Amino acid sequence: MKQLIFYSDTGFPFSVLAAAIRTGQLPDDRHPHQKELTGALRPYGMGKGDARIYSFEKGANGETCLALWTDGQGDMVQRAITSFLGLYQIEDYTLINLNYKKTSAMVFGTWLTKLPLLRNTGLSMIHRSVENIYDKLIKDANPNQQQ
Amino acid sequence: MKIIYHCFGGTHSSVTAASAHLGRLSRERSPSPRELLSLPFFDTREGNDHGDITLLGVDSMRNEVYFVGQRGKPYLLENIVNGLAQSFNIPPDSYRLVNVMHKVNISMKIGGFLSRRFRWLKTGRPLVTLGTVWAYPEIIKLVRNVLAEESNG
Repeated sequence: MKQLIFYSDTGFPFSVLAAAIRTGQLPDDRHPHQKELTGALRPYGMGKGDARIYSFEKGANGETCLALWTDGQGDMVQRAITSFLGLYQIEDYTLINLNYKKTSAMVFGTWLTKLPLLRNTGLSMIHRSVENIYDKLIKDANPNQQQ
Repeated sequence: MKIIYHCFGGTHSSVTAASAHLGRLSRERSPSPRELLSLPFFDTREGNDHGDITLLGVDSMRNEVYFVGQRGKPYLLENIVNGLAQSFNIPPDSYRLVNVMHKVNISMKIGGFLSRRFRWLKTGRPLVTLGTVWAYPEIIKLVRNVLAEESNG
């Protein structure tokens, strides 16, 4: 089975959200509640991304997908992924670049989450921003259904 | 074993180290500027080659020797390579990343920047080449360590 590798280079873990949707940790038939979104992001943080690769597993068919994100350097990271896997003749994967912009509300919201008293306000700002792109995220998380 | 030398642009120190590893440059003395400039890929790679892990040759121990540029962000390359290896069941002892960036001197930095970023070859190329000649004893120390560790298995 082809492994999906979700990738974003805009400094926010959009790839984690797509992988969470793909593997059922976030809903794909409605928008997530703030708690669900926070729960999905918590293990990975909301940092700018250092290309660490996280693995997500889907219960039913055992499908796994990977997620990583960075702040810029998208072209280089993609070449590193394809060329390294190429060294081992690994071709059973699809690299999905999620080209979403990190909005100023997300930037400010992420910053607020670091302040204990304003954490909820920050999460609420992030939740609202993610809601705006969630439908598109669902489509990107299920690339086969788009064809 | 795949040995991957990496540096900022993947065209000066990593190419030099990989060439020395393969015996294309003497390990006993510093190379001349002409020898460096005749190396394939030396001062020729562009920004859109960064991240592309490229094979330079196979050494006497049958190790494949590669080089790559990582734009001064070695942790990105390390995280990607180690993460992919884990996810795709690639044995961690089947590859080795060697960072050559800390062997780069100021002359290489300035010369490389002028040559690659601004394409001021007349100024940048001699500067980076001379810088590489000066840095060679340090680069060769690193290569010798890699070779010693590989031959010890």
